Amino acid sequence: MMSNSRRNHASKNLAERQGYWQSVINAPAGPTLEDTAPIIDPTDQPSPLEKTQPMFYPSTEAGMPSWLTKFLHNHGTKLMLAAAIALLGWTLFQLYTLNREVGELKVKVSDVDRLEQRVNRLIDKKK
Amino acid sequence: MSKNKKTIDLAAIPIDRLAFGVRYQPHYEVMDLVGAIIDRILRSSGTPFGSSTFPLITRQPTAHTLLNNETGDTLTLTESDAILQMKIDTRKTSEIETLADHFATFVLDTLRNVAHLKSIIRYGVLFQLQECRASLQESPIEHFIKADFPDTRSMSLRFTRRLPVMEAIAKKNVSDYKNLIYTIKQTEKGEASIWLDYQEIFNPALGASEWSQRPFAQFVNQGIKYFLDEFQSWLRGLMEKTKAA
Repeated sequence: MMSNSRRNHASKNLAERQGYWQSVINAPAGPTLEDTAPIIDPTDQPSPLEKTQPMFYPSTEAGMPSWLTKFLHNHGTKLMLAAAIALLGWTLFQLYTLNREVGELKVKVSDVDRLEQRVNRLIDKKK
Repeated sequence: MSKNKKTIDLAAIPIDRLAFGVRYQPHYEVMDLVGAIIDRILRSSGTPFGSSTFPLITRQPTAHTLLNNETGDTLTLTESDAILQMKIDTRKTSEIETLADHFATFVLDTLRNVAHLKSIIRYGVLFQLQECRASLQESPIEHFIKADFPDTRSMSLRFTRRLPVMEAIAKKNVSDYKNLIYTIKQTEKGEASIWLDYQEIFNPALGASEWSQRPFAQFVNQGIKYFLDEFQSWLRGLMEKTKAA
């Protein structure tokens, strides 16, 4: 609260004085079910640390995240890493197998060439 | 320094421990500049709070404390409190007034000048008496509880009072008040201790100029007056009379 209030010399009227007595000096205790023990705040103890904001969680199942959401939330990074490694591995495997296929194709083409040459020689002989 | 020196008439119970406390609205500049503040408190010319009084220091994220392990004296600074606790053995109000002057000069003025402290929300002074079982007509357990629970082994009783402040009665937007906390304890060994915590709560908080108009030493004098008058009157009731059946 701003201290300008003190510099204002406006006086309390009778009702305001009664209110000061009732609400500040003789502040009533709370309901029975609440903790009505007065807050003891001694001079020789520093102010307690402010509490951190509590975490709030849904009180019903309807608001709870699904198992998949929780799983992805907890293990998402590991999953992505595994997927990246798997993709890399598959890519390398594909390259390897492609290279083999190309190699096999080259061999097959050379076989056809040899066969053609044999056929041509046979034809020439018959002539 | 106060010129009116009185001797406390406490019968056989001198004051054993004193605490001064000033609470302010969280002022993080205090923590930013705590090194400069502590240097000035320890090393100012004429300081009574030098390294001979406080040879040790502890540092925590929210508090710095100068301390003396032998005497138990401490000076704690946080972003919202400055608290001095000293072990003394006195019946003289002059010693309390002198210590209050020192606290105001070497601690509060340093906070004001270095960290530009303002927005004071509470003054407090705590008077703790020496162990006083022998000075009481009855032990605290006998006086307060034994009739209901004869087998009580220890007790801790604390109650509070609020007193109005003239400025709050008169001014429209001021709700200051005095808060008094009485504590009476008795351990299982039978040792009895009594202390009074005398506080003034400022609402709204005191700004820089208002703080200057309400010096801490003046507040302590009011606390001493209450201690000598009303508190002593109540204490004599424990020392001289048995509890009415």
